[in-house]
Amino acid sequence: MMPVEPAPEQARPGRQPAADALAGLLARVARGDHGAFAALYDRVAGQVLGLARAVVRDPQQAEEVMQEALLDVWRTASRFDPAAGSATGWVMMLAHRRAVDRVRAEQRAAGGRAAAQRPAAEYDEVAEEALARLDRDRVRRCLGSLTELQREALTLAYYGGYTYREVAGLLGVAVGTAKTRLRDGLIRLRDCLGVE
Amino acid sequence: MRAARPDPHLLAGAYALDAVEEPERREFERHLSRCGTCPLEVAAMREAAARMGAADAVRPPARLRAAVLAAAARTAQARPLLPGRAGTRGIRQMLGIREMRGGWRRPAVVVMACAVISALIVLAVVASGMRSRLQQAERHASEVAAVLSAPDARMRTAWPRSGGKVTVVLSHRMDALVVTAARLPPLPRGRAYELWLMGPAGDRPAGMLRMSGRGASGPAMVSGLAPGDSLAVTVEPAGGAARPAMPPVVLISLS
Repeated sequence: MMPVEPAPEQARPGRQPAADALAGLLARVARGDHGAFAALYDRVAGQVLGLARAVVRDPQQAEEVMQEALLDVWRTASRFDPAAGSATGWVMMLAHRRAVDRVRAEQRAAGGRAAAQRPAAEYDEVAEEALARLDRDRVRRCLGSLTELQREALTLAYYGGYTYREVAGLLGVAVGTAKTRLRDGLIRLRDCLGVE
Repeated sequence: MRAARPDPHLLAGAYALDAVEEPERREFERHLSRCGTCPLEVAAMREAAARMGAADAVRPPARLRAAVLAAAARTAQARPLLPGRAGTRGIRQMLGIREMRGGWRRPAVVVMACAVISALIVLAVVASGMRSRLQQAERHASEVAAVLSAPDARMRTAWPRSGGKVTVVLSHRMDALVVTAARLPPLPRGRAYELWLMGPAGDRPAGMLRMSGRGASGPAMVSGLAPGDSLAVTVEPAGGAARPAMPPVVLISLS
């Protein structure tokens, strides 16, 4: 009998195998495994760059943010706690923080900036993974299920990098209202996406 | 300082979206470390936010891959917050053990802690009013002072889920640490807080926390550290126990 070769990794409808694989890679990265870091890069770089572009806009700066974020992943992989959330969520959190830090620094330097809008679907480089496409459609649909104020607040905060106080100013609502809409909007998005 | 403090829970969404200023982020993280349900709630919100972030993947230019991998090859990695076997953190969280957040604090803060703890010792001696205990207290105080004033002394504070706080000042050079507690919940008669060193070298009892009223303890000295140890506080019979009652009240990484 021939030894059975391991089946090639393939995109399956369930997210679990991919998520587990990423957490496994992170654990190896934490031990200084460069090969695991390269594999992790291949899995998340596209998402990290997409997020960086959505937030900082400038393609050059987005690339810098992506590199900073991935180096953060390398440096702090040992701090990833599987009990506190998914590996993707952790990586995206680091990336988002980097992106937000960048736009806020820019903003301070420029003394303000124009209101951000959700970038249109200008990315003709389509995400290679069917999984990611599925997710994008789902996120769009779920964002569409929010109230207009919730959606605008979430979009400005997450993709625009605005603080809730700035969101309040941009939307012309009370600070407390912006804070509450971000919270209940995110809860509704969470429920719609079926996040545990 | 501020009138009518708003409910910190309301900030969870803004926090998960990084839509807060740095001081607010730190304040909310302090709240998180004390709030039982918040970490789970925030984690779920973070996941939802991450899905927004992951929704628009693009193909990165090939040159970036080489650049990132090369940068990693010359970048040192941060040490883990909790040493030891992988997976124990998950188990500890399942047991509902509150772990410490935040790193070791700067020596400047330690100096302040030094002053406070020295004052505690003096107060304890004055309160005891017994000259015979003065010598013993002085010896204890000089040991404590040696740890507190060690050049490598570092301080960490943890907030047990059950209330109060526990502060550790650690000196690897002195191979010792000083533990104090404040506002710990009172225990029934016959029960006491016990200190343990836990790590790859096993669980070792490290003395009782002597309470001096209102949940505060005098400084306790712990020595005999082994690599990868954490300090745990448990509730035990007043005379101490052979094995720690799990889960501990608090677990503090000493790395």
